[in-house]
Amino acid sequence: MPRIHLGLAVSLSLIVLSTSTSQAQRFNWKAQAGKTISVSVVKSPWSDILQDRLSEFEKLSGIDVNLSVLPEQQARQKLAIDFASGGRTVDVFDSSLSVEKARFSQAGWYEPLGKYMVAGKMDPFYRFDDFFSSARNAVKTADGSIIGLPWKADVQVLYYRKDLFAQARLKVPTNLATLEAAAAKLNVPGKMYGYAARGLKNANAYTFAFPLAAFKGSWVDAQGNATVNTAQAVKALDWYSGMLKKYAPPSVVSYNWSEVLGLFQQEQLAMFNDGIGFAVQLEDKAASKVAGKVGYAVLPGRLAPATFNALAISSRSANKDAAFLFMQWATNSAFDKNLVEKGVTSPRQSSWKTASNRPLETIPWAQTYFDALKVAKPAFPEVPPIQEMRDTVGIAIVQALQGTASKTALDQANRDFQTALDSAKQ
Amino acid sequence: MLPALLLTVVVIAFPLGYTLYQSFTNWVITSPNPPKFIGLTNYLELLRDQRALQSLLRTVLITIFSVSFQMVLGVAMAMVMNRHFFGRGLFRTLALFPVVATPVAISLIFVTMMNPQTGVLNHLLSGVGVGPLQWIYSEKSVLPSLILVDTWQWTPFVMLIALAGLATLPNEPYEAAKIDGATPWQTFWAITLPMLMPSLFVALLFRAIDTLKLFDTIYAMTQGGPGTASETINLYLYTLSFNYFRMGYASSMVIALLVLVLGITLLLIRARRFAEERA
Repeated sequence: MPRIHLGLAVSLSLIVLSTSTSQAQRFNWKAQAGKTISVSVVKSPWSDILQDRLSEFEKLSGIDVNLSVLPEQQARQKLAIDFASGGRTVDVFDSSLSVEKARFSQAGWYEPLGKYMVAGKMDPFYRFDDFFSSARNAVKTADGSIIGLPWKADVQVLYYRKDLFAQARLKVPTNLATLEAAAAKLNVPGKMYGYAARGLKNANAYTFAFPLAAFKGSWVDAQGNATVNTAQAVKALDWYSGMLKKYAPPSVVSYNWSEVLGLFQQEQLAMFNDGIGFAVQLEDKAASKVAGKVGYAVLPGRLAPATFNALAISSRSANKDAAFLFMQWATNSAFDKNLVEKGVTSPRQSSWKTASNRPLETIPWAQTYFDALKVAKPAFPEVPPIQEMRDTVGIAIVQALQGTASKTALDQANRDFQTALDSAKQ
Repeated sequence: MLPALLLTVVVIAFPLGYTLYQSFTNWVITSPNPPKFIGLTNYLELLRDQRALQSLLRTVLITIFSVSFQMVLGVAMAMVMNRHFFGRGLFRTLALFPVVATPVAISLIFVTMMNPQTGVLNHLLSGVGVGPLQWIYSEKSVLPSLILVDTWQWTPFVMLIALAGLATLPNEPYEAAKIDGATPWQTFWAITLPMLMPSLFVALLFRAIDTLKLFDTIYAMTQGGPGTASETINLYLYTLSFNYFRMGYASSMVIALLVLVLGITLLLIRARRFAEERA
């Protein structure tokens, strides 16, 4: 009797196995074997993992990949020059959507992915709906077409010294008033700074997006006109520059994320807001003095300004099908699960649940990242002149930090931003 | 003759001519429309652009101060190095290091040294009772800090040229001066300096042209910050080209900078000729 049951069980499982493998085999990874593609990515922990695993893809697909890894600014400049000279030198590129999406799609450099995300060209197990909804929205242009596959999602959170908070019997701030109260309580002039954030022009626009959202301000209005000198924006700048003048070192005016992080790691800072991506460095026991003492929280008011990167196909590429095969491999469930296992964030929801290192339980910031992404909104608007906006508002922030009235500084920024918006319409 | 001509055309004339042409268009790299010819519109915008005019002022300020310090210190160092003392060869070689090192490497090291909280410069200053300075982190002290770094790097260059000049000076005027009982100071002013003028002029010209175009030191140290407090015209046109993608407008700025550098060069040559005719 048991033998018959065993035989039945074996044959049934064989039938099930063969149908699922044939389903997997229905997707042909080797459809573009023999082609060569050029991929350009921005240097980051993600690109390091990609470089390590590149040979897996080459074996799977038979496609040769020329990978170029550059720092963000240089990568963007090289792309712009390549595209502008009509070149077909890049097939897949890493696009910083927050800065580039509107500009590049206006220039027609993205290949819309609609006709690739169909059976036969797309692995049925890919599951685009597995990405966080904010990431899925980030890769769509205003007219709804998908121009990239989510590669990175970075979201701002509040970093704080949970040991100092416990000592002072402070609770995690839930609004701006309690945030300032906590900074004031922990501030010891010359020894411990209560709060800091980026002050460096252009970089500071990212962390300024937090108070801007908190005071219900916005960068542009519904018609796409500049609104960085509205009453709400002025209040936001008053708050931001006020906090930095009261609780941050005077040199904060030139601080980018690395200086703020350095101050926190040197145990001279109690709180700051910035992208979650730096949490890994803080928890590295070998290099960080504050490993294990860091608390993470969604920003007061349940705000989470975010920036997104995607892998996109160049509209001038001669190997679009091969490019798409690469892109979906580099952003599929297996790859993203591996990202989380290596301590890097993934824009896929399932990665956080299926990764073998059980991140939601073992990584101190994982739950905060997960929660923040659920309420994440893009830090910047979808207009072409983002760099100009970050520069002009960034300059206004620096001026406010050095004593100029917020309204005066922002009026000038608004004029310059509007000029940039107008000239981008041509 | 032909290879030299070809090289000149390809490397110098063509890029210059194309940039000039580009300055008359409204080319934005990311624009879906092809560039249009717009005549002098870019130049008119340049004259009204406050950010550009302020960056021009900063460029000239940095050049005047930096080059002046370099000339004075370079000549002083050359006078010292011209004497015979034990270890002179070693000191001369060591003194040249700033010039041969990479500007970006020097800039990054100075950034570390100039950190107001953790930098070694403030640490040393506190030892003599001088309060923590903000160096490149304040709009008030960023230009002096950059001038300091530039002076540190290029003074040995002036010293080198001045030393070469000193080596060619004849001995007779000095012997005559000693007989007449001239003091060292009088010797320097009346004999050494006038005879060094040709070499010093070369050094001045080189340094003035180079400092007007200064980019890597400023970019590596402050990226033009805080805000735009250290943004020179070269940095602004870099931002315009590669961050804002406004190639047409940036090209007009390139031509304006070229005119400025040529103008100052001609001015200096004129001044030298005038000084020679007077002497």
